[in-house]
Amino acid sequence: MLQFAQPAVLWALAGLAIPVFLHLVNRRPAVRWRFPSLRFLKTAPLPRQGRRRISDPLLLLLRLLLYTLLILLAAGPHWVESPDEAAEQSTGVLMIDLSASMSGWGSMERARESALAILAENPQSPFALVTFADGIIDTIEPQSDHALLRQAIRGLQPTRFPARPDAALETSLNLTGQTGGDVHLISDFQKTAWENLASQNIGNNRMHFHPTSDRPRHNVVLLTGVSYLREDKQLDVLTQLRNDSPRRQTIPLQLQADGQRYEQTVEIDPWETVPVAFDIPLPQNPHGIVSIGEDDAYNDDNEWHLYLGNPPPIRVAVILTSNPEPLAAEELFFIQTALETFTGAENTRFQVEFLTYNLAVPARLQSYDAVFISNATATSGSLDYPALKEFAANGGTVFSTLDSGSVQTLRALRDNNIVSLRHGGQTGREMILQVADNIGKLSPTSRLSGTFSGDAARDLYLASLYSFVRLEGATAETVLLRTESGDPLLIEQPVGLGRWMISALSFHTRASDLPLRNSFLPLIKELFLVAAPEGGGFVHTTCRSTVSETLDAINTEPGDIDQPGLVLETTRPLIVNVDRAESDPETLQPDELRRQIQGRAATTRHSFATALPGISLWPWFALAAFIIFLAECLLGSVLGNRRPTGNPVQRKGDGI
Amino acid sequence: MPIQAFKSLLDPANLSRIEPFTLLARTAVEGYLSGLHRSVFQGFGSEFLQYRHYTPGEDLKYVDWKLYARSDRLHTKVFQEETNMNVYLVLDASASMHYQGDDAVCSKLRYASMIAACLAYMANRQGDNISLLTYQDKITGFIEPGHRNQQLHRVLLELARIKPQGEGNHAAALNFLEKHVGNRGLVVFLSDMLEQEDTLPKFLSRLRLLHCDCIGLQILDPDEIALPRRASARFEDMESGSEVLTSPATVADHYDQQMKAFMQKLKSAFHREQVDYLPLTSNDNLGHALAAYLHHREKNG
Repeated sequence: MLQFAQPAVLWALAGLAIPVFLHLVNRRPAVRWRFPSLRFLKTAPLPRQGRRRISDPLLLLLRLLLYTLLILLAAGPHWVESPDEAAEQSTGVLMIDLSASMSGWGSMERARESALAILAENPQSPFALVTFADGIIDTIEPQSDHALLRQAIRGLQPTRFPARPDAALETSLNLTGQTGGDVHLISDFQKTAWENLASQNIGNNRMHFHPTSDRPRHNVVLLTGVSYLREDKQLDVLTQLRNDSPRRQTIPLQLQADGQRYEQTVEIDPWETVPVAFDIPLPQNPHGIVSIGEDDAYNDDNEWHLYLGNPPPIRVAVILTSNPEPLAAEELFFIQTALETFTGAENTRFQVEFLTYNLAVPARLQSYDAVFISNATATSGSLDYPALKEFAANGGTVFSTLDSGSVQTLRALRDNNIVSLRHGGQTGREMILQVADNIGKLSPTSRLSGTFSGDAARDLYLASLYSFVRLEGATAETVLLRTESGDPLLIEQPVGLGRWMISALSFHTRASDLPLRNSFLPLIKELFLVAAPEGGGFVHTTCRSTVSETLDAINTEPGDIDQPGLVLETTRPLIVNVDRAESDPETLQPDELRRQIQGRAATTRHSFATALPGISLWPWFALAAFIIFLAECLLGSVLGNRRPTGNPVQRKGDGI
Repeated sequence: MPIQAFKSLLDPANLSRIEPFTLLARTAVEGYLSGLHRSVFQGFGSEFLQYRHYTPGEDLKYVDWKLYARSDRLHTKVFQEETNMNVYLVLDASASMHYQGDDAVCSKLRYASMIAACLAYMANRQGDNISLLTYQDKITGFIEPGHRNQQLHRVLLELARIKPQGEGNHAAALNFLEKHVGNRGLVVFLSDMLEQEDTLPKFLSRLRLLHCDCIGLQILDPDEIALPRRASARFEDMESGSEVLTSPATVADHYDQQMKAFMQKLKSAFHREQVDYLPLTSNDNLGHALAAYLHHREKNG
């Protein structure tokens, strides 16, 4: 049976009537013919018979045939077996979309109806069932008894997951076997899900598309929500609403937190997106839900889960050697104390954990925001600098201090292209505590200058430095703190998305009295604040989104992200919402889907042959058109030589 | 030169591509003469030019017997032509000569001009005086007979300048010629001779009384001999501007018969008046015209 990939092109066949009509109605006027002498020319009536007859029927026929073939060629001709024949010997596959968007616009009900109707139309054919969302949900092998299939279809329910049809389509195409079969795709064919479909080899299969929605997908979407904790312990909750409909909407919006309900009414114009803000006190229960107060065509995007608690602490790993020296232990004590001291005024907490260095430590670093390496640990010679560099490059913060024996540490940093600093000697090597220098005035451009002003700055400048490492090769923009004499004390070197901070001063009392001063605590906290993760320290994901390393790092269970909500049992709060891509109102048409499945490369190779199964007749039609074109040229040439052309008066070389 | 090659040199399809008449005439004439078995220009004069090997069939009176006695080989003596004959080229440049049909390679006037150029070159080559008279409804150009170096150039230049227009006044041209023609001349009359079958032979025969030999070359387009069969056409007379709306396919047979009768009548009239007549179409090889000229030249030599 002849089928066409682009049947709409066949309308161009109506244009065949135009040349015939023109041929018939065209009255060629008498040409003006200047002649040497009219002596023997007598007036004669012009021929009237045959005016409306076709003068060169064969030529006209050839041209019409050529035109017809070109149109058929553009329509993508395929020879496929007749449906009856195919149905007798082929397997059918019902591939049904159960993604979140199928719960809206009545799509799931229509999908069930379509699937049952297909089974009813093909009672003799074996059918398989493939359901999918973000992957294959269930597969029922081909079977001739449709009872089980009907039962399964009636029990189908949409999930909260996004649609990723690639794997399901590949399975469906394989289920039909070598001979091919009818693959029935039943979905809302949402553009975001189907437009990036990988090309498939459809073989001898016949694709059938059953859209579950033919009407505009009007809806109101709660796009996103985020909370910010202010210093006055009030929360700013910001959300966004989008109106995917052609009429202005009045939306009742509510925020549920700690058993309280905060309500607003929002006016939103057609196709507009508006931000909405709530100002609420910090609740005890950090789980908040913003929701649209009334149902619409698609309800899964009507609520958004939020984390409304304090930001989770910044996790700092302090790496130790197995037997830390007393000075190193003192330094670690000061660091831990400074970070974990919580006055109640800050919104950010630090959580310090000590890790005795071993081979497993680099793999565990991903669950931390910052790493502290004392000079003693660094000089032990066992650190895996490439792993630490990768940690920093992925957004982490590494803080290391220098002291005696740091020549090797700096060499290791240079060898790993982390910093290009050189050791310039060490001050105060004698055991007597003698003031070698003080902390110099902060540069206004230093990020510490905001914290240290007034009395706080004075206290910092009074700190006595007994022993520190002189560093050479530091660029001015990386230096956060200097001595009075200009030697760099604190250097922040960007590494990928993160940074590596180096202190030329160890934080123990043998090196300075800074750890004993009031300014030490804000200095350390300010330095480690940059380690705060993006997004406030909690993780946001969508239902069944691909589990990333980040999700692994917070010990997420696979089932945690099946339903929207807030998961607090993980190392960081995990917020799960339904993927908003499922709210996309745009869908693909069957023609676009065919092209999409066939793939761009195949479309380019056979521009007119799309995803129809069977044998492509494109080469045969092209050959026939070429032969007819040659015949038309030949006949046209013969006829052209036989008949006069043009005005006989206009001749070249008339002037001698 | 092979016969086929020299014939192709005289093919108007080839010659019409050569723009300067000087080159055109030289190409045609030299090509034509080199293809002849024996030059008719040599041997008729009295001034010795050169020897050449005897060719069987040549007149034995030109054999140099003394040379034969010395060399035991037959040689004939070649003499330089000596003549004072005037060759008058009369060219009809009326509008009707401008016609060029679909099957013709050039217009009738172009064809006639090519013939005139070739004849002028040939005459100049043998030392004859050449003259050119062009006319339309009046005399448009006349070059007095002469044989100086620039004479041929002037004639060819005049041929290149002709623009066909108006009606052809044959009587005026021939009356003018009667007053200027001298003794022992050759008049070559080039025209389509349309509608002149009764008058033109008589005019030309009058020139014979002045001891001038005449040859009438009628130049026609193939369309005029056999009217193309077309659906319908509004014919316009190229000279008078009158119009006839007709169907050539319908009247072609009648036309062809009438044209044939006209040409027969013209031929009879020329024959009756003892004037040579040669009908040519603008596709015919120029060799016909040159042969006719040479025939007359030999007759009058």
